[in-house]
Amino acid sequence: MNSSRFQMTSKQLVFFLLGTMIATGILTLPRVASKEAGPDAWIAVLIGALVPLLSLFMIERLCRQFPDQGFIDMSIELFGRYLGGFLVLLFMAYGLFFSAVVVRVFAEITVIYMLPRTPQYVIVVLLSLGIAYAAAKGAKVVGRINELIFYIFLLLLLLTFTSLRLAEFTYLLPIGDSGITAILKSSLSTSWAFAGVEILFVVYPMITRKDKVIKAGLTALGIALILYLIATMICLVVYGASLMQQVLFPTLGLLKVVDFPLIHRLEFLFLAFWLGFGARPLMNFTMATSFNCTGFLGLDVNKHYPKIVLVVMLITGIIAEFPRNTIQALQWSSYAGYAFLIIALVYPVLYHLAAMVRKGGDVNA
Amino acid sequence: MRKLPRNARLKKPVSDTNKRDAVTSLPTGALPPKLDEALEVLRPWLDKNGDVIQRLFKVKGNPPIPAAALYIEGVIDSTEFNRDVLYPLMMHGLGADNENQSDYLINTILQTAVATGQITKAYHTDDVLHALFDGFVILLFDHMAEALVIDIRGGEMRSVQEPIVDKSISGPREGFVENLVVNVALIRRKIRDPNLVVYRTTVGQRSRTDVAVLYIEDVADPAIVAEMKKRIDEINIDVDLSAGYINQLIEDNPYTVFPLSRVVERTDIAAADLAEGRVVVISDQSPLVLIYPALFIEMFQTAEDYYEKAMVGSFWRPFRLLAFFLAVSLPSLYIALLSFQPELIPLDLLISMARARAMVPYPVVFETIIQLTIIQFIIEAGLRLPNPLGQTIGVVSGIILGQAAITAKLASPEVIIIIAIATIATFCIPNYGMAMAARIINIPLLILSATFGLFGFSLGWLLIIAHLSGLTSAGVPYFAPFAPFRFSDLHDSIIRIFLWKFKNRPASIPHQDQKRQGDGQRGGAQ
Repeated sequence: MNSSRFQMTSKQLVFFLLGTMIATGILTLPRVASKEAGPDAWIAVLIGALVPLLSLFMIERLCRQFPDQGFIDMSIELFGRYLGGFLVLLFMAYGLFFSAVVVRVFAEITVIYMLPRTPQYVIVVLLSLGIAYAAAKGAKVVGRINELIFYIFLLLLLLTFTSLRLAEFTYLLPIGDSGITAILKSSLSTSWAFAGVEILFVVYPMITRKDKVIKAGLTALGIALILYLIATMICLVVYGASLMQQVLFPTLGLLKVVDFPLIHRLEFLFLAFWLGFGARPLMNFTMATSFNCTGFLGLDVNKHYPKIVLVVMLITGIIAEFPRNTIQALQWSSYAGYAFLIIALVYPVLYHLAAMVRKGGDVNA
Repeated sequence: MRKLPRNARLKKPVSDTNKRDAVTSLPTGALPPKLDEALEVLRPWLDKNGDVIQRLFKVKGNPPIPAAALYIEGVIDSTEFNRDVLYPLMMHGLGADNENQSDYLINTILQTAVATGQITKAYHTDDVLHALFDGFVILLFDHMAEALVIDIRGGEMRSVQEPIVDKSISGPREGFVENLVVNVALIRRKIRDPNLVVYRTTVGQRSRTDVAVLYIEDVADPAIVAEMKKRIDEINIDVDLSAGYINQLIEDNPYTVFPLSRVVERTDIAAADLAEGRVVVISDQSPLVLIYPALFIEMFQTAEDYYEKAMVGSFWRPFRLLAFFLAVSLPSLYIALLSFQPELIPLDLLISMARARAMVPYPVVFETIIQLTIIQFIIEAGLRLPNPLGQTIGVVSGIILGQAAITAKLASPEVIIIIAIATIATFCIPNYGMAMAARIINIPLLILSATFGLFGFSLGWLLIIAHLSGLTSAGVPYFAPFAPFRFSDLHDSIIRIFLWKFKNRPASIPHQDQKRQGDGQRGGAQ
């Protein structure tokens, strides 16, 4: 029983990574991607996927050298007690910040679309408590929930295809017109949509079959890329690049296009299901941060983990209340995007360098 | 496997000294060989119990041996006792010579004079006393160190009848009864495999209830079997009256409304589950048996899903799952939509709803809760009253009360329809425990939806899913094959595919023997 609560199969890893990556991002990505790149937004999405791909490879290569040690032990071994401890703390702070942004943006969307008269902090509290319950059950159960919700979400994504009857495929043309620089600029922000791969740092020791990690990671990345491409493409052909800039959540707007006979407004149906789906990164990051935190404080995982989850959730909720309004909250989410780039790219490079120094240059063996 | 904290909690009252005393206060030690002395030792338990019969007689022979038969009235089969025990001993005895040593003599009696199947010897006073109150016949002979214990238990009991709870249209009409021996035999008749193991033990210090654990040795996962045996052996209560007691003491997680074991009355379901590698627990005096490990989806399966054609079986299943969903969420959904997201309801419907609602003086939440309470009263009343009266209550409350409530403008017709559908839906769930679970989680979901609309509704469902994903039954994930997702088991979940395609045993239940049936069955298809 001991560590089995924190075990994941490589199949669950696929859905765990997917759940961490795909969330609020899929609602805003088409707009963000087409801001600079226009009709070439989908190319920007493709290029944006290179960042997580690189990160994934580097993290896997690194963790392979420390298969069962976990993130904290690895950091301390490579950087020593103080610097390593600092890096772990920074990672935990990133996790807290990231979940805070997720919970806040989620609460904002809920207030705008569903509960206009409810104060946003009530939603934050309610959501945090609900997610804390799920996260406290450990990695195994979190992996299962991720998987189940992904399948439900896949069914919902089919609904967006209903808007295709309004599609104007000439919106995609001319290809490559916006220029390389614009596409590259866009791809910087599209890469944020893949934020979540860095969680592999924490979950790597939980995976039962280490040899399948890279395959699982690539599968997750591939599925995420395909789903993002589909969403971007559909939004592009339905709205066109310039009109899309006026829509806050273009993917959600797709569901407004079609009027079903019984269910009057489809986007509510989507939002009703969306809770589980949008809250997944929160659940996963809370799980990871709490796991790290328990290890960092040197506590027994089986005994103290659920309490730590509550504390982590409390801190997350407090951070989430810092942005003053929706605009600032969305601004914070772009800070989270930059933080992601640092954690996903700089961290692995730093760790690889340290490993190289420690082992006398013999790393990629 | 999960080490359960509740075991620690259970231990406490049992190590309580006065209960231990009650059991160990039986005289231990060997039985005195002389009949008078032996009876004298047993006297305190014989005299104070009016149902204990002492029959003193003499075994025919030269010289006649004084003997005593002790038994409990009504628990043994008295015809058999008179014909096969008393008659041969008194009328025929052992033949001529009774002068030999006692050890030899008792073997002779055992081998030649008593004409029953099950007979053993007992040496100790407490064994004899326990055997007597377990329902065996005790034979004591003068100048013999051992007593004979004869099993001719019988007496009045219910015969095998059609199950009351699990009805079936096209399956066998055979349900378990209150007798463990009969129940085990009913399963044996269905599975004649010599590898079907019946592990017997007793539970309850005072009730000494027989409990049997059944499993197929080369199919069931040994870890699960060992775990179930361990859990049952750890039970330490005074009286076990029903399988429900055992179920509460061995389930994985008491803090859940969902049934973590399958409780069935049908013999064919128990046999089918044994063949899938599960463990069946039978408690004496209980017509319900427990099946571990159980899955969430099983609570929506019935026996005739498998007896009818695959398409018929597949037709029923989605309706039951829909019934569960509606039973849990229809009232909540109604409140959430009406008070928070009326724009989701088509306009024409909304207008007629609003018109009806306008007459009702209190908020929709109260209206719903009042109706739910009334329905709960009606169900309860219908259960408690004798059958014909119960039906009257149904009619009176359903038609008259409902109609009157609408006319008096105490409730809108929509609420009554919603609550009625939700209640009927709970009756469509084949498993009683699951139906109750649906009725219970209805309430918190209702409160969440009434406070936060659709957001609260989906948060509630997220919690339900998280809760279900974390549950285990005998250490096996309860919500499989959905979470963890097992594609190979989906063929028997929301739908049920052709029987000849059930090649392997379900992956969700750990087992040893993967193959369930051979290839090359045509299934009538080609």
